[in-house]
Amino acid sequence: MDDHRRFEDLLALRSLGELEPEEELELERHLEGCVRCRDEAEALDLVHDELRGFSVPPPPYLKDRVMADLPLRPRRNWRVPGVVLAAAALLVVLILGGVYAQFLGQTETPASSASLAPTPLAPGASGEVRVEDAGANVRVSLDVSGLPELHPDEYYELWFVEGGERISSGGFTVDDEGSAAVLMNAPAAAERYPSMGITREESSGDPRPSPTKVLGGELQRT
Amino acid sequence: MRDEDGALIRRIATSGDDGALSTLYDRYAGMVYAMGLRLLGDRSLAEDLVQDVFTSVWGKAGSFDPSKASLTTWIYQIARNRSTDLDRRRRARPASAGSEPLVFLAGGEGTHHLAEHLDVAEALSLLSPDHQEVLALAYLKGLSQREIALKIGVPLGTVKSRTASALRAMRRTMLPEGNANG
Repeated sequence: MDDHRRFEDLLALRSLGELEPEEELELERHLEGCVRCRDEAEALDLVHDELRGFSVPPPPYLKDRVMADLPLRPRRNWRVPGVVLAAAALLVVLILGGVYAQFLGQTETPASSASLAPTPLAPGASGEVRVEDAGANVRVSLDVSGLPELHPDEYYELWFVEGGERISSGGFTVDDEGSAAVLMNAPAAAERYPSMGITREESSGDPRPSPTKVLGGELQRT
Repeated sequence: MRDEDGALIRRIATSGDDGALSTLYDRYAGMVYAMGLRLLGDRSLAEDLVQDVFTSVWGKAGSFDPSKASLTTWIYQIARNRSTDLDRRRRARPASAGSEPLVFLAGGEGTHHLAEHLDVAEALSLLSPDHQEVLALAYLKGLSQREIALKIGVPLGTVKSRTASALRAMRRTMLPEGNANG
């Protein structure tokens, strides 16, 4: 091996402090008499300095913040029956493939969230709801699992609830495992309603909620 | 590492795998944060940069084309674009006695021109996957050559040879012959 090639290897490792004592001594002796290698040492030190400053560990809390604030994404494909879309009283927004208003420059502020507990009609079900301000509407992120299988003319519907008043956030169906992760919209007025519920509906055209409540919970301000 | 990065991006794009994003965060957040500190001179804005970049990676994973750029270069470009926006925000802030001072990083001046920082990322992106891997483990993870050898399962002599070769390649790209003084 060419001597300078070998010393260039040693120079590179010297920057990292990875030379054995005898290698360091040999290199220092060589540098005393070699201008070319002294210039190379200077250049490699600059590269080393740039690389050392190239990465600085961010504060540990930052990762938790980044991961917690990621927009929800649908994890499974899901279908909405044509009868739901034909129901004029329902407000349904379906987003698939990772397109979110956040990337279009809109700003959203987390407003409230709710953990949904099952009723006796769906004992194995659970759900999480997150409501965010989005101007004239609120954006609703819903994540459910364990819901019973639906008949072909049925769907589930998410409601904002205050006493006897209801505002629908939209309808959805679930996959074979009773799960769904969906994004919906609702009028901003719904944000004032303190509770949420999910009912099991038939596509009869009646916009009123059925008595078949499967999940419910109280919204907590965040 | 390039193949692993490609697999992680695909998992994010196709199934919204936040575990994959977590792994990419561990690999690249330090690079983005350092860029933020250097270019923006403000820890809060550097944190915003990290958050913006990884939110973009999460949402735009489907648009990453490995035939056009390495993941290092793609993330770097996202960070560069976002840092420009954040820099406008920084400049719009009125100066005050309570402003956080610029951060002085070990190994360099307190501030660097954008072009100088670009050189490091671009030089890294030109390296082979093996070379990128050993430099990433040495400088981003702070592993010794022996630790790197154990981690990637190759002899210590091979790691040293790769590292030396990678550093020489970086030197040739960043400081062409005759420009050792910058």
